Amino acid sequence: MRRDARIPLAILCAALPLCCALSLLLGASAVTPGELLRAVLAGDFSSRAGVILLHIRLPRLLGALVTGVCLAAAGHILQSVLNNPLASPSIIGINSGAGLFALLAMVLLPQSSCAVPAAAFAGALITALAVYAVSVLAGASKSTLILSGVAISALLSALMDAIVTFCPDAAVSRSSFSIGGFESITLPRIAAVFPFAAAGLLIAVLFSMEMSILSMGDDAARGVGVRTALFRLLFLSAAALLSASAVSLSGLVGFVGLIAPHIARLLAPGDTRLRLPLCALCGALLCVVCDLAARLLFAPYELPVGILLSLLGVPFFLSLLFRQKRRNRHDCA
Amino acid sequence: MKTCFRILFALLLTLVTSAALGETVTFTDSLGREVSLDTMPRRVVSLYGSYAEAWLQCGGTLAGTTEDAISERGLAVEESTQIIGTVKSPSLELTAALEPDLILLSTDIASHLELREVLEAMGAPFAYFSVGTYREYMEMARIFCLLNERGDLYSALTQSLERPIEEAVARAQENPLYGRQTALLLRAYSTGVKAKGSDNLAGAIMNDMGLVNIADSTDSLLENLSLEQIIVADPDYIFITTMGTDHEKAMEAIKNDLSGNPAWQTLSAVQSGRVIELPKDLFHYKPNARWAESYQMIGEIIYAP
Repeated sequence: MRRDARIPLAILCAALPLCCALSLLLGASAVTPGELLRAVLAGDFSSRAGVILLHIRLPRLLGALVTGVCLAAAGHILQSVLNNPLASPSIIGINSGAGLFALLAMVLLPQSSCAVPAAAFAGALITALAVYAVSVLAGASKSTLILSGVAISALLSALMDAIVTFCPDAAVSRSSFSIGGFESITLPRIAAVFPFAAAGLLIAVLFSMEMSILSMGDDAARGVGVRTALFRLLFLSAAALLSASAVSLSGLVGFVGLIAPHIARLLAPGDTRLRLPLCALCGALLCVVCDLAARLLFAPYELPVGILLSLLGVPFFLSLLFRQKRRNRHDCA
Repeated sequence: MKTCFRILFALLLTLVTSAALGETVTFTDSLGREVSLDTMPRRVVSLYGSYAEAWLQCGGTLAGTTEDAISERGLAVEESTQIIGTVKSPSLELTAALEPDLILLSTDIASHLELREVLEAMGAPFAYFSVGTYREYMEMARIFCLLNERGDLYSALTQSLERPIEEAVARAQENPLYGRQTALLLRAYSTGVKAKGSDNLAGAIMNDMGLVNIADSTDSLLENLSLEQIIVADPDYIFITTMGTDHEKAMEAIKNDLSGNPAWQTLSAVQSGRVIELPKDLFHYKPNARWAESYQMIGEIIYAP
């Protein structure tokens, strides 16, 4: 049954700014919201409250927003284009490529703080393109793309294990990158990836109709004159740009790319017009809420955000599934 | 005589530095950054328990530190000292809320290196250190004592640490067995065992005391621990250090990978009871002011009459 997406969209649009405000006002330290507001109103960002707001909470919030939007949009693109509800940025080798290049940077340039994000970005893009090149040689269909992604991911994972075997000290660094988080994000780093993320989103928005057509299958797409191979490459590139941006910011924060499109689908089944913005909002909210919870739940200790995304995201998703099942049963009765 | 001269020089250096530079100390940290700080920083946050201990031993006070300072170092910190998270995941917000005069970080911890950009953006005073040998510890202690204007503590450290180490090494060098005994250094984790060369804490001590580490001349042993290569080398001593909180699992890894194999029993070190587990607090964690004990222990083991 088709449900209007505007209501959940409106709810999410209202919830997101509220969560963002909470993310800025609340934290593990004893700095009060009043101090923060006074620092903002006075323009005093050298005070304790101002430093925490400008250099710690704001970059974390923006990082969570960008990561959430990018991963969710990438997941939506891939699930549409590949007609596969299990598709996510990891399926086209992005996570493995980013992980391998990041690990190489940790081993070769252990004392550089910029090397890992840059390497992760490059690795994600290069791997996505390599996956596509392999799939083109094998026929450029959806199934060859997925199979190429799985094969190359397996190869890259084996290479990562080999590197860790020879350099066991890298295992610790790899672990924190693999779980992901927003602790060390800076505003310049967000600014650096923003053009790439924006480009990816722009492609998805401008060609959303073609994406919807592709999601109906190759035959249907060709039937209405859509060049499937060309658009598949275009959307893959968009997904790669979005995922690479997210990975270079926050490491391998998993789950969002897979689950946010499904949440959007459950909130507004059948309505594809607003699916992309709904998806992006879901991803952003997931990341912001989980980051806030990660900072507050066990203060002064922080849970890695990636772990919390799974712990909170999975029950929420399952509750939506059960509610959908009850609704379907009620509709059929 | 040499040590007395060094003590006098240290005291003189302290006086000259304070006089010439006024209240500022300038040094180069382990990342090659030039750091200038006012002396007597009151609000110091250490993101590493070992450095927290060293800072306190050099006359400083702590506004905050990570939980390993208590769980691993057993430090008795004051109530006013805030715990700001774990060594691998310190809370930058809690650190910033303390408005520190100095933040101490380690170049050996990846998550600390990731914080550099944020700290620079915040304009926070911070310094990175790397301590793998007692010489590096003494250099860090020199800086800490300068900052705390406690040249006397540095002199005391020179007496209690540097001098006994030099004496232990000198005694070792006089021993006819110096440079002629071989050793294998193993580090056991819960998931496996690795051979270690002389580029880590325990390996450097062994090297200073005249042991020849077989892993130094066999690169492949570092990458791929091979019982076959160990049997061929047949080291005189096998030293084991464990890593991680699960000691049992680490020892089980030794058994699974090495000692469970009957060939292990053919090693001369095994047959003569020279497989020795080294205490973690002296050979894995930074010994800090107990470094001399580490050297003396090795000396007693390998040069026992």
